[in-house]
Amino acid sequence: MAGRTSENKMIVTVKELDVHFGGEGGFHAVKDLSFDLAKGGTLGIVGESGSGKSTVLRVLGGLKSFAGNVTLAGRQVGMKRTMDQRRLVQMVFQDPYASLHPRRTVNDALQEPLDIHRMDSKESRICETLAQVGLPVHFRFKFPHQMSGGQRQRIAIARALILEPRIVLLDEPTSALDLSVQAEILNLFRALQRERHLSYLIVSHDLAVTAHLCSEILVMHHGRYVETLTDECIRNDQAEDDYTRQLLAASKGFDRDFIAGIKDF
Amino acid sequence: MTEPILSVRNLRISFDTPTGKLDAVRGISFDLGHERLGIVGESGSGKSQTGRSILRLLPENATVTADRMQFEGRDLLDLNRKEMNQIRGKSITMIMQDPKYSLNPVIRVGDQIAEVFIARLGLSKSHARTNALEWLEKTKIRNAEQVFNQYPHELSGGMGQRVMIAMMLSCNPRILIADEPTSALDVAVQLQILLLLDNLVSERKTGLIFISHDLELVATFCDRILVMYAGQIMEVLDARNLSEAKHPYTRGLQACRPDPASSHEDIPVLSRDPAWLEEQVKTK
Repeated sequence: MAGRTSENKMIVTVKELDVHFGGEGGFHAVKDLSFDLAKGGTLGIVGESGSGKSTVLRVLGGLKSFAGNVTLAGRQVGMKRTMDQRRLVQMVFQDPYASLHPRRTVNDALQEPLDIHRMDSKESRICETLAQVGLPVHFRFKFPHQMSGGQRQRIAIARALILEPRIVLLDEPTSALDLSVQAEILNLFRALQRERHLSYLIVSHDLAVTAHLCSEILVMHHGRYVETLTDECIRNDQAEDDYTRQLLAASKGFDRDFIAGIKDF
Repeated sequence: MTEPILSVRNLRISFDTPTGKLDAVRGISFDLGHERLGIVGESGSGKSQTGRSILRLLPENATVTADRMQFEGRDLLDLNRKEMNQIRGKSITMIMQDPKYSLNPVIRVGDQIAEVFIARLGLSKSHARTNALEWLEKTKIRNAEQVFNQYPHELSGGMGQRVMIAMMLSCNPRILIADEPTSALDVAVQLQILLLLDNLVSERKTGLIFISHDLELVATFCDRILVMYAGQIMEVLDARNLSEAKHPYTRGLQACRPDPASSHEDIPVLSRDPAWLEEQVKTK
């Protein structure tokens, strides 16, 4: 039974995940990847473009077909999911300019998921969620173009949270935002996690952002697992793999000697 | 400083919008020498509009005024359309963030570079072709011959930006304006592009205006930094002395960058002082 209890601590378990685009002979985006996410924990996935990091999120969100085992809150899932399984996992995307319908109000954006999932007390849920993401109630009647990038991202977060998910997938959630706005949103993620006991899976190319939110960071390269770093490792520049070491050094700014030695992996 | 290449005084840019006049840049002054000058600010600070105004690339509804915008003994704002066209892409050039939008999607890359030599330097077609190939090699593209015959969509972001650099530096401009040239690229590629840019620019003694939102990157790459906020210059800094920045805005920007060393705590957020809107450093 010991094995079973430890498995119950995990809200996400991924085993031997393989993802192809364009069928078996097509592009192999994720190759034999396995990882876990603990309940209430935060796992980061870091990699360069084309590493397959966003594809992993799309698999967990039920947006991409895959081969392998994916278990969410103790249930093995595929592409086809029940309403409850869909509610369990919600996603926040990178670009708040693209993820909100330009001709629908905030109220529409927040009410639609409630309608689909036939949830009760819609009024109070909308008001409460807006308050939780730090926006006043009158924002309900605004259109996306009347808001700043940071405010839009808050709405996108509210849209995800309103269904009371337990797992939130964050795909580069702050890379379209200014630094000062990014700081506010990152603080918001932490506050929401404390209040709602959320589990986060965050994908980013920014090591500083990931290390700030996560205690464990998985490095991917060309669809493959490279290694797992703790935030401690990033602080102290400790990495086993040459690729990761280069990634860590590259985030430290312009240095001629270092750049001359950059390798292709 | 020696004689500046470009000297701007009291530059103002405003836009006529359906909801009234919008002041994007409010009376900034700066000089550019043989240096790497960084302009840093958040979105809406007016940094990109400043860059575009030098090439007079702003839309119809923009009004640009300045006491002076001196370049090679002439005021850029006094030039007519034809004279301005002579300067664009020859003496002053610009690299934008995404090469996908800067390159013509239906013309082979090599032909687009060659066009610069034909149009700007009056070379023959075959001459232009050899020169274009040479330039692709200068930007450290390994299989230059192959890239020459490719279309923009076949290139990665880093490759596309190398092609842009080749195009923009091939006629030895006096000034290169780079507006977030590496923000869309992976970190390692970003640094390689910057090194390339730096080498080519310093060989040719081109003045570089580097526009970016990334204060830390600019501090390690540029010589001097202008920090902009709400259309004004808050502070002018030697890049080496970023840690000694005095203005609370600059310091706030540095502080709100997530720091792995103090993780799992809230990041200090920037509180904006309304007084910043009315203050500006005096540049002589």
